[in-house]
Amino acid sequence: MNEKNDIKSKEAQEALDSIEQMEQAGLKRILPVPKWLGGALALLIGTQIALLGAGIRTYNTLIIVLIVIMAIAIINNNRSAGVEERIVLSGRTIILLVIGLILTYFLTIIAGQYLKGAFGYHWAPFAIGVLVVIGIWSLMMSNRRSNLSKFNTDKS
Amino acid sequence: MENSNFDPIIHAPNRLQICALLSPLEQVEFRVIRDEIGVSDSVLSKHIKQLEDAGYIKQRKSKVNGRARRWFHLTTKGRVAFELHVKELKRIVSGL
Repeated sequence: MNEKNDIKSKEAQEALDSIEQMEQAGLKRILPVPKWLGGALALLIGTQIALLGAGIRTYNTLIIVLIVIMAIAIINNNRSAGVEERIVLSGRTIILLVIGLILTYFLTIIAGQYLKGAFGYHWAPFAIGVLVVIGIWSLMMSNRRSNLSKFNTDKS
Repeated sequence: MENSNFDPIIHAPNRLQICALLSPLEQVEFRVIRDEIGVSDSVLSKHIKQLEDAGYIKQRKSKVNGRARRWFHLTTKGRVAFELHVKELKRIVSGL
């Protein structure tokens, strides 16, 4: 009986080891967004917010096209690896996040326009743009670090 | 191993590996599963068919650079079954 239990336990342990190994292999396949791509996207969004806040619309279409190209490049970067990262957020959380991002986007533009118009702070939209770039970049780097540490934790 | 949480469909080594590979991810391409598990296309297709028949995984087809690719993901049923199976394996190992 004991021998039978040992075999069961050994087989179960081997199965668990195999599971852990495959989970790590899957996570390892996820390609992090290249730093330059994340940086370029952050820079474009920050520039657009700064220019719109300052009332400069000349390059708006060009920036939107570049943002879309960058977003497609990030999606393709993931797909080329043959794996897609799992987002462990509920549908409601994702909707709230998207609404929050859209609101933040317009609020930053309006804040820039208000500070420039009401107080004559011509630098304000650009300062807000810089803050947005730093914010997006920090979020991307934090996500990148979190993914790397998650993999290292799973590995250990 | 006569527990309701123990799943013989999942426990077969290759199918266990497929589920384990899919579990932390949203979806995985056929070639990646094949390369990670180290089996032929036909063997993998057979295991995938069994998991699909059980309702544990589903596939999506897409074209990347003009080439048809098959992507697989765990269904909610599959994810629950896999998690319960892992829990059962841990229970066996702990000897409780």
